[in-house]
Amino acid sequence: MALTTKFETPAFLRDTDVAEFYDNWSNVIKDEIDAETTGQNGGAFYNPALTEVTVQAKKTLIWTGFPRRVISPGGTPPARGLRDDKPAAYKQADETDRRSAGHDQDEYFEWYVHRNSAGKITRVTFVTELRAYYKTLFDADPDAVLSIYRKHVSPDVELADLVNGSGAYDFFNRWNTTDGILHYTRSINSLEAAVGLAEQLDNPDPPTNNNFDADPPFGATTTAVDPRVDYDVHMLVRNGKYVTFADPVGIYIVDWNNTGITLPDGKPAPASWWKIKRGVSGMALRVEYQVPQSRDYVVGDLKLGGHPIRWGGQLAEQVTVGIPAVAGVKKGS
Amino acid sequence: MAKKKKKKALKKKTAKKTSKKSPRKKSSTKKSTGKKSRLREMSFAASSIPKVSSLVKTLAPFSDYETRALEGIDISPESMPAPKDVPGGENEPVYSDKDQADIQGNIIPGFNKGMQEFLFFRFGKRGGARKFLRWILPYISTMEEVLKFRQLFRERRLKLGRGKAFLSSTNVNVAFSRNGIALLAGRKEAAAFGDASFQVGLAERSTYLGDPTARNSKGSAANWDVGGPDNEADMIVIVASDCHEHLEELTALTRKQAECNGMELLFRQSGRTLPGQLRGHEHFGFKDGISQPGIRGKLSDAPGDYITPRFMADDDHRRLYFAKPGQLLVWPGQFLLGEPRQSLDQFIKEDPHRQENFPDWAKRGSYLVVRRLNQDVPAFWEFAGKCAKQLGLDPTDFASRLVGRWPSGAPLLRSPDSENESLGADEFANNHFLFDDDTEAAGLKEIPGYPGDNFPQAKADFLASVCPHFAHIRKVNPRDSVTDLGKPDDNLARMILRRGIPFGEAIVGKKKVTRKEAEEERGLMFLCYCTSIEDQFEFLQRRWSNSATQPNLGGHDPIIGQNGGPGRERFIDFPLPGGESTRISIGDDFVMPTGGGYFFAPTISAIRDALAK
Repeated sequence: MALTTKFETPAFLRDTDVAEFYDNWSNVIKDEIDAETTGQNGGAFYNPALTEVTVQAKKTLIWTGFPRRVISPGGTPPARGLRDDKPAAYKQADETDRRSAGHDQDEYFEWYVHRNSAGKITRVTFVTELRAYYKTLFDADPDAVLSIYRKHVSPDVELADLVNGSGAYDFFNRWNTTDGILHYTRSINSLEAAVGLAEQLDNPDPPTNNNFDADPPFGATTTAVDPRVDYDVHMLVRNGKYVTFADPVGIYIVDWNNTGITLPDGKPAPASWWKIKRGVSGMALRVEYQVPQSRDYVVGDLKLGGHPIRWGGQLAEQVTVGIPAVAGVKKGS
Repeated sequence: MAKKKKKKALKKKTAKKTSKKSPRKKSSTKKSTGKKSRLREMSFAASSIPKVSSLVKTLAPFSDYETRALEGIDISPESMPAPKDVPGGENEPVYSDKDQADIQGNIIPGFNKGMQEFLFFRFGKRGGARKFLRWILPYISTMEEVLKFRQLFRERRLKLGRGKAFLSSTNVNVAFSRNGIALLAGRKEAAAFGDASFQVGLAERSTYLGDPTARNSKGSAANWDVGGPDNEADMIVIVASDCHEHLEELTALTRKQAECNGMELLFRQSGRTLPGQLRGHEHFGFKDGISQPGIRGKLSDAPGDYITPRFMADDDHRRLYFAKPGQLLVWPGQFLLGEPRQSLDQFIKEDPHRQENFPDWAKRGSYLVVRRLNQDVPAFWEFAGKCAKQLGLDPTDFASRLVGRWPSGAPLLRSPDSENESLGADEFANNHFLFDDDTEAAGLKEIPGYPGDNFPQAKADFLASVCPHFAHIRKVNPRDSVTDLGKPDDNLARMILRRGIPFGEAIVGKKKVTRKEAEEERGLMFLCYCTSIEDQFEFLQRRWSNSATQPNLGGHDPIIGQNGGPGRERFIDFPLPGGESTRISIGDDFVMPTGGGYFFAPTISAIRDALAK
């Protein structure tokens, strides 16, 4: 594979006509990867802008979007999670305060639940969009960001709602927290963290021969995504591969499972009620689940596996998230 | 003639349906894998019975398989020198004789009988049901009883070599649905079971599991032989025996007693291991039940007296997590309520928090999942035959890629290019392999009569070019692989104790198969025990087998996976030489649910004191 000269936007988004933005975004990706590949552990996680690798395989590293920490919170000694009480787990994950950078939706997957006056769910919106993308876009073209908010969150959004006291873009603005959702607010759900995850164990100490024996060094994490990326990258590297994330670098909603969702009359609900709102199939960034308005019932009137849908987390558990990666051998080696 | 026309029309309709691809899924996988398709995409509808002559040709080689000396029960831990505890091992719970006499024996260690009868009852009045329980209580086989018989059998076999042991026992176990418990113990007690799937029952969870929903489908819960919305059983009685006469006699007696106590027999299913050389194989022809978890725990304080015998050498660090090579050790709370259970994050450790979401009397009981699964053997082998021809492979080779093992049970990872019956029969070698890394030879204790595992060790297959991501054994048991839930530690918490047995006459291995025989019902009575139906059985079926993307992208499990969406079309990304793959559509289900239920198997004392009183 030839050297990458310019990194693409996630899912090839074209949110603005301002050409500078696309250069800026490419630099954001390049800098993030640069910072990690030349860091203290710099090993076989490579920068495709600087290192030429013959790609042998592409693999999307996938994980479940519902936060594992709610089920198994870890800690020393480990705290009792909600392993035996799923409804409580869904409730906790739904009601986590997304205005806090350390909230529970920490699997690079966040959602917002819309309810009607009776408290029934009318829509659930799932996102995997990066804070850095909106900051970079806002810096280049604030109106483009406003336009996205108005299209996807509410026509009532004003530019003034989106900035903090110093005029900079505010990740925690009301339309991305209490009154809607456009992108991640959790600080760890960042590109930097994702790249860091892949890099931090590409040159591990102590060395391990397989994933079973790798357990003690990797044992502390409480998410699904961290070990998913760590173990897979580590496994590829110890098998002599060079690894990086595939362009366009992004975290995507890869798939969802519609089976088991039933209408009030017991018939299966159509899969078409899941709609990709941003991104494309396989690289979705914003997905919504909603019953068409032509029906006289709402999401909260449906069942999933025989249980009424009371929490967005029930649907979040059906969603698979992923990050495409490539592995190969260094040219000339 | 009219029938013929109808069949033809159906075939045409199905073919049209299966050629229609799901744009979302197709595009998703193509983009994410980036693999070019060397062959054109293949799509087969195998809904019609193939020509019997061609079927026989495909299935005939199965008659040549031989069983080998080292299967299951022949190796006796009692024959090994100086049993002792695993050095540095975990502090595992001890189950005294009294404890063992309270736990039902099909949970641990499992009946393992070649003849079993499954009786699905509906209760009449509470008094009658309780009276029946008091009658059947002394017949219920405990863990202690089954273990004792197993030991006796081993000793006899050791004396006789491979001669027939002339020992038999007859076992009975029981389990109850939520409604059954509500009738016997009251609604409050039934509601105290925290397993949400058990609360609503299998019929209600059927669509969630991806089962067919079309009104005219035999697989739709509404059409099930038992366990559908209108014919759910309150209780299941399992009778198992080595002796046909005893089996029939005790089954008849059970039926009579039930009838006398106002209970209705909703359905009876006989299970029989396949005959002759196919003993231990399922109807498609593949050896089944190889990869059962080992259960942590001891039978006494005596050194080395483990529930699951330990064969790893003291100087092999994998003694801490394998009972024998490849057999992962799992804490008993995954199968017995309230016992030390598997940590989700610490591979060999127990979860410091035990399960508590059940009534007190239910401790050490287990949820029992029963699924009557029809197997369409002609459709499976027609599919395998057609795909194999197009790929230039032998049908058995292709079918083995779908399973992940050769028919003998030999894993592809240890014999990538051809069947190896000796490997398939070697219980110390046939389960010893990793997926992601090279597998190191296992250090074993000295085992009298065992020459050692001299088969080539498995090589890393992280790209899944040997054992594809869709292969059944890779789907339901990812072993060392990371999954959508993260660390492989979590995989242990998904494992179940399988206690299935085939039903119906076998056609694999027969030199002659008539059309009538080909069309007869056959399949697997799938039974498993676990302590969370949702997180164990349902998880394996729905989250991994039914998914084309989980635990890794690559297609659906072609054996038991189901696509519950419209058209039910599944696919596999079949690996080709050179790292490429081709997408193959599967138009039909080879396995179809036709009955079952979610039950709870209590302890003997719980039946006596909480349900029968």
